[in-house]
Amino acid sequence: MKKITQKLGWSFIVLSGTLPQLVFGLDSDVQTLAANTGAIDFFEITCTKSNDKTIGDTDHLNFKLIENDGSAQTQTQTQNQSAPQPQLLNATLTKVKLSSKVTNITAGTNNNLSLKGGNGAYTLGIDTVGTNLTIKTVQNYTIQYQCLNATGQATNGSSTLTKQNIPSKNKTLANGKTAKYVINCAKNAKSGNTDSVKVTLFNNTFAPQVALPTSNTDISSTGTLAAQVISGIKAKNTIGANVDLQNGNGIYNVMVNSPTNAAKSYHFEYTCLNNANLPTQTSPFKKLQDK
Amino acid sequence: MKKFLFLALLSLSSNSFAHDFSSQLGNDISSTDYIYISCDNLTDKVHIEISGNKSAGTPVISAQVFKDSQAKNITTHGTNSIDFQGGGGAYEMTINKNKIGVVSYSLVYHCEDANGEHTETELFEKQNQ
Repeated sequence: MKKITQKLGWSFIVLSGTLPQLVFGLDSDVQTLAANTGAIDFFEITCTKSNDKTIGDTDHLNFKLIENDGSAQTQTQTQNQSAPQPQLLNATLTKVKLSSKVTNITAGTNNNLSLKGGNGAYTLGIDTVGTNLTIKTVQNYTIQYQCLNATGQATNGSSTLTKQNIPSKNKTLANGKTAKYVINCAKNAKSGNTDSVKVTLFNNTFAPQVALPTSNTDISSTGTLAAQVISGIKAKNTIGANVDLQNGNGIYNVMVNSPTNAAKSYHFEYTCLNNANLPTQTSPFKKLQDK
Repeated sequence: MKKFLFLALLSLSSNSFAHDFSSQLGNDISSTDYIYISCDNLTDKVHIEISGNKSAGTPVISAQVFKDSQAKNITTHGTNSIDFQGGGGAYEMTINKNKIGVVSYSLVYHCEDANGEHTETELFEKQNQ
């Protein structure tokens, strides 16, 4: 089995409960399970304590398997569209004459931008252009960045904002205002020179959303694929419904397979959360086996 | 909802250990049994077979065997047995299904050395759902 791509992306998911809550998860990007008999894709995700002391330890991993042409994807898109967000953020990366911009990062969503500018200082600007200015509440956001070489390996990166590849503490921005940060990328002794910097902006501003069904029996995929989330002595199965596995900080394994030995393209969303469903530290997944 | 029956049959034959395990999975799709099979350090591989109701419309029961970053899948409705070569130690295994409904399943398992002789085999349960 061949993995088509493996870039990291942050995506939006909704956790339901008596009150809808917003969390943000890493996305596996497109993976493909082969039709080989007994095929399993095998992953490892590490959850650790948040750098933010107010968030603290991981309580559980939230996981969702999505078949790429299944109904789950459609359901997520429909829900995002059904809840228009009047508040938004825009992000711009600049370095000398180069620039890159993403716009309309609405409350409760996130987006990535990158800029190929080699080693040196990049400026990240955040603004609220396009926001409904009748809304007076400030917007909340966090930022994560990584300096990368031409093959996608991490080089050296630093900023007063946060350490490389670690989400910043929560920042606030009043509507109509701007914020600027500098990210310095440098050569790494092993991975070499920086080719680009990648930034993810998470708009954490509260936005009411339509909740997803919570029942484990809700089927939001075709059932061609199944996934198991395992940690410690606990394990849960899913064919598409959102599952939480509660085992604190540590390693969570994920296996994806097909009850019918079918080849299928899929992706999954995952995030480590504390007992209030706030994101802690989620490592990008490590692929142990690709079949 | 849970029913658990564990049978370990040890034959008197010098080279034949037959081990059986039977259990039920609960109604939810998330229901997962989690066990591990411990093989002694003379072991070359573990052999596992799964069986269950294969009638039309019944859930497919799957079992995932994993050890040392390797994993394989078997199902009641497809290839239902596996020889997993991972040496001695703990072979972990999750058992689940693709539809709601209570289902029963059975496992036959044993550890073997490189010559096919059965080695010391024990099954331990981590989770029964």
